[in-house]
Amino acid sequence: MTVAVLPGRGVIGWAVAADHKSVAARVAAAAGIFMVLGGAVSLVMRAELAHSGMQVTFRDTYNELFTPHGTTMVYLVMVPLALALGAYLVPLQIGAAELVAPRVNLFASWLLVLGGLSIYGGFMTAHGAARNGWTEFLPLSGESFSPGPGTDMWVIGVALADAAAILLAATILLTILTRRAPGMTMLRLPVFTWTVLVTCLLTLFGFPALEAALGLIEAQRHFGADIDPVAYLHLFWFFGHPAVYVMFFPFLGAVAEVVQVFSGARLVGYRALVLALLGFATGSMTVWAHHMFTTGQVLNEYFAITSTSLLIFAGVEYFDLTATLWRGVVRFSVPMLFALAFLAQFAIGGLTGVIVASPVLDYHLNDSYFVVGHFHYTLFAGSMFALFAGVYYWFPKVTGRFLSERLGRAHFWLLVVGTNVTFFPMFALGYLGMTRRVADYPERASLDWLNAVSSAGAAITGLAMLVFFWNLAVSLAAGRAAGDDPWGGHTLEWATSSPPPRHNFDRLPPIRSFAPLLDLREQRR
Amino acid sequence: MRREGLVISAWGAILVLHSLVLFVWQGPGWSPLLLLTAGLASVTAGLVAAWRGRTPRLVMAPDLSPPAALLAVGVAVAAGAFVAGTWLAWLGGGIALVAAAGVVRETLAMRREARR
Repeated sequence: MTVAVLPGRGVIGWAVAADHKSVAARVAAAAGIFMVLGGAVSLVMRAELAHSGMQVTFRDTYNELFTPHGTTMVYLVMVPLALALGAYLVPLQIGAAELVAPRVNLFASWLLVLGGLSIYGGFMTAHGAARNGWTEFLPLSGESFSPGPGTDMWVIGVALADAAAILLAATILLTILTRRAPGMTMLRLPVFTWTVLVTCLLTLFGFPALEAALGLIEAQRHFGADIDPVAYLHLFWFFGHPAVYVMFFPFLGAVAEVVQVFSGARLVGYRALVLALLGFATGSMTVWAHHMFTTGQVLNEYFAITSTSLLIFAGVEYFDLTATLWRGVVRFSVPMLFALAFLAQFAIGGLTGVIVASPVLDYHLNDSYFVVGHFHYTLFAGSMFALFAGVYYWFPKVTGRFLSERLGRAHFWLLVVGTNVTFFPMFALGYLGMTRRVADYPERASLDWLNAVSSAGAAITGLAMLVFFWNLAVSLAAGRAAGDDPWGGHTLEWATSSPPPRHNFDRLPPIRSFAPLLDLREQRR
Repeated sequence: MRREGLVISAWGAILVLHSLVLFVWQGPGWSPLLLLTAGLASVTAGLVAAWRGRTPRLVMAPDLSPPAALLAVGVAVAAGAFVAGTWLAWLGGGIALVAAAGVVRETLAMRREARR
C-alpha cells in the first residue's frame, strides 16, 4: 500500500515533485535542452570543417566547441535519457507504485541540471571553457596546459552528473529487486526492464571510477600531485566503456518492446536474450583497455579477445529480434521505422567496432575520423534512433496524445538521410588519415569533398531535429487523443491510464509471463 | 533472503574471475585491480540485497520535497569551492545542512504518519 503526502502544483511544484514520473520528465527535459545545445555546437563544428582553411571559428574556439559537444552528449544527454527512461517506465512495467527513495531521485535530477550549468558556466570564465575533449586526459587537463577555472568547472559539472547517474541507477535497481508486483518474477520481467537492470549494474560498478579519475585531475591542478597519465586512462576508460553500453542497453530494450508490439508477436528466445544481456554487461566491463591499445601499457591480446567476444552476445540479440520480426505481422508505424533503422545502422557501428577491436588495425585507425564515424554510428545512428523509437512508442502513455504520424515520417526519413550522409564519409576520411579533434586539414580534393558531404548531412540532420521538436510542440498542444493502450502493448504500463495516475495502478492484471497483456488477449481469443 | 540479489553477486563473481585471468596472464597492475574491485563490490552488494532486501508492506511516498532539491543546490555550491575558494564551501555546506535538516524533518513526519 502506498500513501501520498505533501501534494503540490505549478512550476515550483513540478520542480520539487518526487514522483518517479516527474523526476524522469525533469531529467528528460533537461537532457532535451542540453541536446539542443550540444547539437547546435556540432553544426558549428561541421560548418568549420566543410572546407579546408579556417572560416567560421578560431582554433581555440573550435577546441572549446568539441569539448562541450562530447561532454554534453555523453554526460548530459544520452546517459541521463537512458536512466530517465528507466525511472519512468520500470515501476510501470513491474507493477510498482513508486521508485525506491523518491527524494534521492529528486536530489539526483537536480544534481544533473546543476552539473550541466557548471560545465556551460565555464564559457563565462576568463580563460574560457574546458577544451580537451569529453575525456580531459591528463596531463592536458593539468594546470600548466589548461590554466583557469574552465576545466575545474568541467570537472565539478561532470562529477555532479556522474553522481546523479549513480544515484538514479541505485534506486532503479533496488526498485526492480524489491518492488515487483506479485507474480512478477525475475524471469517475467519485460525485456526493457532487464536492459535497465544491466544498465544499472554498469552504472553502479563502472561510474565510480570516473569520480576517482576526476579526483586525480583536481589533485594535479590544486595540489600539484604527480599523476601517472596511464592511471588516469585506466580509471577514465573503466567508466568510459561501460558508459557506452549504458547509452545503448535501455534503447535496445525500447527497440525490443517496439519490435514485439509492432510485429504482434511474443519475443523469440526471451531467456537467451536475458542471458545475452547479462553476458554482454559482464563483457562490457572487461573491454575498457581497447581504448589504450596504442599506449603499449595494457595486455592487448586479452582486451582484443574480450572486445571481439561481445559480438556473440550482440548476435543473440539480433537473432532474437529478427526472429520475432520473422514470426510476426509487421506494422510499419513510426516507432517501428525507427526500430528497424536502429537494427540496420547499429550493425554498421558494431561491425566497425570489430575492426577497431583489433590492435593491429587500431594502430592505423586510432584517433582518426574512422573512430568518430564508428562511435557516431553506435550512439547516434544506433542509440538515438532507438531512443526515437521509444519516444514515438511511449509518448501516448506519458501524455495521453499521439505524436503526429505525418511529421514523424518526415522526421524519420530526414534523419536517416542526414545521419548516413554525415557519418558514413567519416570512415573514408579516417582511412585517408584525417585525425579527429582538428579545426583544419590539408587542402586535398579527397578530404575536401568528403568533409563537404558530411557537413551537408549535418545540416539535414539539424533539419530533421527541427521537425521532431515541431512535432513535439504541436502534438503536446493538440495531438490526437491516444487512449490507454493505443498500440496493443504487451507490458503492464499499457494496463493503466494515459498518463498514469500518481501511484500508477488501481488494479493489476494477473502476471504469468513477460507479456501479461498479450497473455490476456490470447486468453480471450 | 531474496534470491534476486544473487543475480548481482553472480555477475560480480564473473568479473572477479576475469580479474584472476588477467592477473595470471599479465601479473599485477591496474587492469586486474580495477576488475577485482568492481567484482567484489558487486558480489557484496548482491549479498547485502539478498540478505536485507525486502518488500515493504506500507510505502510512504512524498509528492514534493523542496529540501531534497535544496540539498542538491547546497552540494553544487559547495563543489564550486574548487573554483571560487573556501568561502563557497562554507556557503554550500550551510545550505546543504539546512536542506538535510529539512529532509530529516520530512522523513520523521512521514514515519509518524505511517504509524498512525
